[in-house]
Amino acid sequence: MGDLVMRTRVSVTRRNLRRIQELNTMIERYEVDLGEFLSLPDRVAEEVNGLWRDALALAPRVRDLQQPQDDEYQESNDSEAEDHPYRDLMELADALDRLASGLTRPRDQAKRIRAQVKRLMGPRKDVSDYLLRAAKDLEGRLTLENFREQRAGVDSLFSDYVELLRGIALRQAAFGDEANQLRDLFLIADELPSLWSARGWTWQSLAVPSLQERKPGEASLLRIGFPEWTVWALPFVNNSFAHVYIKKQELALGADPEEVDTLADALATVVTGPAYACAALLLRLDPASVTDALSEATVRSATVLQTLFRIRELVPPSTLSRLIGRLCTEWRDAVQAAGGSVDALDAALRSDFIGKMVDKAFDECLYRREGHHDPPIWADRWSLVSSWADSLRRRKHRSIDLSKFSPGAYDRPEALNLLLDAVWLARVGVSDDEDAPVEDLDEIAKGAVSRMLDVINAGRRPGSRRRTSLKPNR
Amino acid sequence: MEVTPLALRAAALQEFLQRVPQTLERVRPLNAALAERLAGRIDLIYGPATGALEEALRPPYPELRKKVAAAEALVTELLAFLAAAVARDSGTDEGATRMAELWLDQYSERMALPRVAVVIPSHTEFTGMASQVVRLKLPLHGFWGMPVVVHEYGHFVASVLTRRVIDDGLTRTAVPVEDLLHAAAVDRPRLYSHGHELFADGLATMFCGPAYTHYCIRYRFDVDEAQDDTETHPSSTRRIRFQLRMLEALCAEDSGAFLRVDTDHLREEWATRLRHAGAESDPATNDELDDIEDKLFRELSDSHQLKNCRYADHRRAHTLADAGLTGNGTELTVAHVLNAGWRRRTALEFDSQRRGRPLPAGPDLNAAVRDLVGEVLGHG
Repeated sequence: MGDLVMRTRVSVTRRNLRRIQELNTMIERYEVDLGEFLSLPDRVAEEVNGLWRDALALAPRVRDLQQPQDDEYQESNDSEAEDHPYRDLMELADALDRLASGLTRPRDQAKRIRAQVKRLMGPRKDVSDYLLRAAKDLEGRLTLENFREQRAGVDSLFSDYVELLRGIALRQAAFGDEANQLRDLFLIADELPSLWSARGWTWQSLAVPSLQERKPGEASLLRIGFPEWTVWALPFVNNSFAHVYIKKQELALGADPEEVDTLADALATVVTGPAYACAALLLRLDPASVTDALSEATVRSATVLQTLFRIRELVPPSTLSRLIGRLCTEWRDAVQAAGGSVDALDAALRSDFIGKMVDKAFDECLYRREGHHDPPIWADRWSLVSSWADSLRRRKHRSIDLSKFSPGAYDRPEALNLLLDAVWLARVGVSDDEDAPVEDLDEIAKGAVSRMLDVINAGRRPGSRRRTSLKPNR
Repeated sequence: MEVTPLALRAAALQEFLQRVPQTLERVRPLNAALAERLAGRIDLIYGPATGALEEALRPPYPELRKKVAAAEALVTELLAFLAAAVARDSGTDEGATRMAELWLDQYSERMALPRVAVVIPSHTEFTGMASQVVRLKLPLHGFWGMPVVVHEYGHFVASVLTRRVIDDGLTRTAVPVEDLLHAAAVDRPRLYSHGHELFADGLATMFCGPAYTHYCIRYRFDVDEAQDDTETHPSSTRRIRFQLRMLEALCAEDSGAFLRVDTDHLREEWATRLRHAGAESDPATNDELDDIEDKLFRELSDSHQLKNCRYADHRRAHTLADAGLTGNGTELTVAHVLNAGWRRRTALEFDSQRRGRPLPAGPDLNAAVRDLVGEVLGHG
């Protein structure tokens, strides 16, 4: 009595949770339908080839049957010749041959799309691990009594489900688009988290375009918010994934959200390098919001910079040190110019709390030898990053030598990361006279994306292995 | 002609030089490459010198003294060839002198200058202007000391670098560095020597980059005597200042700030060493030498010939160092390899210091540098 509303809502919610669990089946069915459609060019080509062969086989027989009439045929005029079945058959054979040749491109295209869709729609660890399992868990636990408490989690899961469907649809819409820029970016975004492979856990990511970037919810989708669907914003994927990583590795049990956010920023900086700092400081954080020691912009910018300062101590003096110095100076100048508080920033740069989060990030990501942390690989190989940046800046991305990053090797994801640092270094040099002109930025970005795709595609060749059990940053 | 000591000396030299081809056959089994080099010199220089002596011994005895001096220089050179052949055959110098020769030949070719005659190991560094023999002091401290051969080569270059100038409407060939130093150092041989050393330092830095200054700071210049001039050499503080000035000029043309980083590091390292020794960082005032310094710097910077050999693209050295000195020898220069060696060495030292322990025993860095230099030069 008096529980109809709740019973109805629980029932509907359970039904919707089951619908989520049918996602894989739905995807497979969709893939089958799409696969049938995409195999049409192959089937048509097969039919056409069959007709062509038949025409060629029939033509001499027809000619033989009409042999006594051949002399008449040769003396006859053109209009009569056009009606000759042998000639007609040969013309038909030619036409069929041309048709078959014309189908080559659509067949190749269809094959490519089929592979991409298969990859996109195939079993994705994040979907099966989080979305489906979360849905199954929730459905199992949901009762009338706890419906209100579970509501927020359910809503978040539904939101992720809708985002996933929308994201996949949006990514699919780019297929067939000549520029394919959106598709390329999200392919790269899918691969970036492979830098983070933890022991016994392989991450198969799916990054979805979203209206806003939000922290990963229950499904741990990685959202890339509009309008930052560009290579410059790719480092934010690592921040999103850092949240997933923290949850998976249980790095911040019971911690408040601020600790998680700060740790995520520190982790993202350690794993990515200056590209993350550039993206955060130059694209995202508002210098005017650096008002006091606790504001988000203050804490986040100080976390990124403190992390870089600490990494700077691990390597001998280099151009990396100069870049880090420049980023700090530029940010301080921006804070000052925007009316923010440089004192608040400086205080945060000395913050023990942030220092502890950086320590945690170091312990998680960097190997220790003889009691001291090794530098991140991107810091160790900074001259290579610089060399690649120079190639991108000079629009010679093809000269970037990836041969040392062989397919399937453990450091293949590192090549992606080094390219990410390189593209930002190509844009923002160690001094302002090395900054790329604005009109060159598109070409620089395209060059970097092209090489990143080469890394990804080479890694998918038969026989290539996926890195699974190495500590991030080796 | 009266039988003077000069005439007797000339006759003896003539007889000696006539036996040179036989000497060549003694060198050949010891070192074929060296023999080839000597054979080239015999055709080009010894033969004409022998003929010139013969002519000088006949009336009217044209320029007998000058021709005797030239022949004496050739004797010195021949003895140097013999010494080099024995030293190389015995492996005394780890192949350094042969590689140094090949390296200097590259520079001579690029600048369209004559080659040096030979590089030989010696107990002292010296370049004979007349004999064109470069002596390399052993031990070299491994291959860290290789840039010194370019310093010695710098003395040679000073004597052969020419320029066409117009003088009172007439075009003539000037030897700008020698002319400058002779003019500035009239009756003051010390200024001539000091200027020569600064030119050689500047050239070595210009061609080798920071590798030369690294070596000077670590192995050559004693900070306790940093302010002291000698009869032949200016103070170390002046020499390092000149080298840093050249590095600054190279920085202006080097993209990516890699050279800037290493130049700043060297400046700081030298300053720290001087500070610990309680020494002044600036050289003692010497207006005349300051003036010569400025002029020499301009000669080095403005010379079109020398520009062909300027050290550039220091990033390659860093990249090679980060890759552990493994690289394609055909795409590198000797200077890049030497600088990569220094970069790798300082990185290892930094890391050891950070971890509070001595440098670990590992693959021999000097051997790696030597092998890669050999690969670059196409030498064994």
